[in-house]
Amino acid sequence: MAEVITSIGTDSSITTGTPSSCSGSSSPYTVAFPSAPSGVSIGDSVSFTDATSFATYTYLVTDIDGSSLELKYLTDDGSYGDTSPCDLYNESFGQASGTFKRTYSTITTWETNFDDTTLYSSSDSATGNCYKDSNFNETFTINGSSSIGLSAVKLTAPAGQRHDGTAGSGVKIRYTGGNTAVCTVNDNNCTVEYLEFDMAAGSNSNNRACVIDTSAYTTVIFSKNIIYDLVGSAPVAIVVNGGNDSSDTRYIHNNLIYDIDDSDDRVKGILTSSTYPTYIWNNTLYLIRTGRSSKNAFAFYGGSTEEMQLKNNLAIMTTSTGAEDFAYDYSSDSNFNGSDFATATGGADDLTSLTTAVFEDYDASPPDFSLASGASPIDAGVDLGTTGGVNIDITGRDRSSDSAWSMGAFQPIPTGTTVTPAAAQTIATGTSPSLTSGITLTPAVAVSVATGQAPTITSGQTLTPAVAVSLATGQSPTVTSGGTVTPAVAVAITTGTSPTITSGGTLTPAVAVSVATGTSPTVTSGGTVSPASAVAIATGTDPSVTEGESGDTVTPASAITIATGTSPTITSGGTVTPSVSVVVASATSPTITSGGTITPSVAATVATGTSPTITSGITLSGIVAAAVATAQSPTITSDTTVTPSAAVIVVSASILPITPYGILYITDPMIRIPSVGSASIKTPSATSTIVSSKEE
Amino acid sequence: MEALIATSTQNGYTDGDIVEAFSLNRIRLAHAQTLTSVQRFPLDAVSGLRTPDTALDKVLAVTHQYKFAFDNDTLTQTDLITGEVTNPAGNFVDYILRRLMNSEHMLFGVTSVTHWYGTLRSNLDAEDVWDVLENCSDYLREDYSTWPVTEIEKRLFLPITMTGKQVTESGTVDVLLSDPTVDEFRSESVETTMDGDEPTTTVLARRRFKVPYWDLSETLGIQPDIARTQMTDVRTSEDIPHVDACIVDKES
Repeated sequence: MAEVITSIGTDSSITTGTPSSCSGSSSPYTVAFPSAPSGVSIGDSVSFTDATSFATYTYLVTDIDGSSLELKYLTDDGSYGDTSPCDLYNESFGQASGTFKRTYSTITTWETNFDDTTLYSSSDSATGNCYKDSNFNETFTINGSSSIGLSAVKLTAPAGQRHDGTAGSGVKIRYTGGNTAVCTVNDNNCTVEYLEFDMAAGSNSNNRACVIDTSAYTTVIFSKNIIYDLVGSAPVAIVVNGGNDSSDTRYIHNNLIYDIDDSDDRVKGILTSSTYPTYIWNNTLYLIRTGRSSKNAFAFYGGSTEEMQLKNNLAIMTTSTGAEDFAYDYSSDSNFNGSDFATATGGADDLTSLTTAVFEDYDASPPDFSLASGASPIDAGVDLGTTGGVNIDITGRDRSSDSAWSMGAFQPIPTGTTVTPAAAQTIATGTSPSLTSGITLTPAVAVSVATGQAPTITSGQTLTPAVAVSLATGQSPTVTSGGTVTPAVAVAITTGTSPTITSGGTLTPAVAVSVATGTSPTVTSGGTVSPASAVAIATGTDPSVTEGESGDTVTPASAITIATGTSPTITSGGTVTPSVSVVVASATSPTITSGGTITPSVAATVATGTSPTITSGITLSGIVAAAVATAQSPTITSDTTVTPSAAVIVVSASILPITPYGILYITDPMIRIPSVGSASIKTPSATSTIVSSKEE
Repeated sequence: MEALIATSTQNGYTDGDIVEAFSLNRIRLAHAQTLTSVQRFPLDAVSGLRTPDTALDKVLAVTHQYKFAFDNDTLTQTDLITGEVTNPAGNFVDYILRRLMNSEHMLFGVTSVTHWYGTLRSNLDAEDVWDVLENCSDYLREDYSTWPVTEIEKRLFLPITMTGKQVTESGTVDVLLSDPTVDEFRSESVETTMDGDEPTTTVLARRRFKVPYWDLSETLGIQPDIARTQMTDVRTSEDIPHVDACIVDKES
């Protein structure tokens, strides 16, 4: 069984790319591009126009590995059939370039194509990834999976396109027509998730966001959706019809429903007419209200056989003019629900008489229905396991490792515990954003981004993503890693006025780059740094790179430490043993200080600028070593032994006291030479004074 | 108006069904949104906010009803339709900080001066949006007058163009079809009954309207066997077929 992912959206020109090589004798082809096509995702398509046949060939992107894409032939308008992209030419008989675009422009056309044998095989699953290129304006029915025998169907928004629990932040469906429900699910094994249903634009009879119909009763999941502003007669956000038997598995969980406020008609949040089970868990509802005394309002309304199970739901309905209640006809095991009324479901663990104060900002625009700090629904729910994916909250956060579940769709992020999403993005932006992880982060792919005036990223313990990027940009950004960082590829970048990168523990990525740029950047590595390739760069007015206290080990195979700017400083306080290392400080007053052992096989220490200083308080024993200080007032000081087999210590310009072995070039007469065993002194000027070591 | 016509009986649709219909207003709104999608407007590296006065900022001002401006500790809400100004109370610093957690937020401005928009306007007019977009970019609405039908959709459906017609003193002229008219052409065939006070809707067919393209090969400029077997697109900007000559109401 394969998952066939296709994209849905209106971007018909995501980017272009020209293949550099192709492999594979038939579809799918592995196609290399000079660089990774920007903005392209699995499920997008790419079209090439062949100048020799005048045909346009289209391929589906089925995998992305850096700049290499797997492309599956879909169609061509010349009916030529499967052809490698590298056999398509432009008008100059060079390689044709392709235009990347979404594969479908509407959800309706995606759903209509479930019986396409060029895309699907029996037992495949179909995933439609919706993109927020523009609002979707349509109704759709999912019921076509059986003709080819699809095992499952999922309509979702991929990471980066999902809402954050507030309206307007992700993929939105805003239907302007009328007649029926916006979304109808009539297939088994179907999931609809991460979508926003803006119902304000519909006509009077458009009063259902989603209907789970009679033929959909096994593993049907409607979750993590936002529904609001229902209008029209008898509006209901979600309707569940019919059913099959007592083993039905229909799940409605982690949805946010608000603003069903009808002046003259009955209103409901979720209505089930099924006489079989429906599991309604962890939903948040607000403002479910009727303004007519002869009508009624319910957050949850069940069939007469009481098969609707309600758990962990939170509904602040506000007062109606007509009859009202939290729920009607629900299963006897319903519990852990929160309501603003005196009764929720009568469970021993229900919370009642709640107010809108449980929400962060229910009346903002867009409203924020996450739980306010200290709200009683926090940690007042029950652990429902992972059935139907209920453990994932509306923002995509996994509750599983939390000590307690909260009521409603929003699970607050606790402090001091473990965060282990499969794919995680942690992003803070704004004036003084701060990301602090005092815990274990083990996503497969992690991106931590902080931007703004004084962003801070702090990781106190273990970071083991396969690919990790910590990016802090802004005026005074700080990235601190206090524990072990072992991604395969890690990049820590801080840019801005006074950026700081501090690594207090072990850094062992295969490839690590620490870059700090700005007015006074600082890069500090306090422990072991042993990537295969490491680059630490600080540039700016007063950059500073510090590697290690005494006893720390810095052992990259290849290390480059560069500080450039007005007064750069590089300090190595421990052992530095790269096989190849370059330490470069350049600009007005660079300083390189090594307080410990530096034993590269090839090492170059270079300080250039107005007043460069190189100080080695210890042993220098490279096979080939060069210590070079050039410019106006250079200084090289070695207090102890210098034993490279070949060493060059060059000081040019006005030279202050030194005690080297080697070759000394003197271009200024004011020199004191305490002990020169073998030196050639070239052409002192007439005003020169040479002072012997005895005199000194 | 553009439409995607089913060229076979599949997945609940019958041959000739209007599976999708797009008004010019919907087409141009979709393009305007795509061209001003938030991903195309990166965050300012210093402030962490979206740069103000960009095409995105200006387009949102004509597509939303309210503008919220936060200056240090005061929030000002402006109704962009009526001009009414209020000062809502609340802790908006925390609110803004939570919004900033989303890297694709749409908070504009510079540090300590922030604005954003709320509540989409109910009847969006693409012409208003494009008036703004053309003023602040090189995009021209005339270049964005066709729906971005994808290649796989051209293989699945027959994309066609239709228009209204009006007889004037100077002859017959094309007339744009309104959003509600076009929306109706893509509607289901339904029957609504009342169960007490509760309306119950039954879907009789996935689409109410169809275009019998097999009888319109001359009008549409394509033979039915070609439409059924090959990737096709007969949308045109000239000699656009009259909608009344093409569409059949299956309920009538």
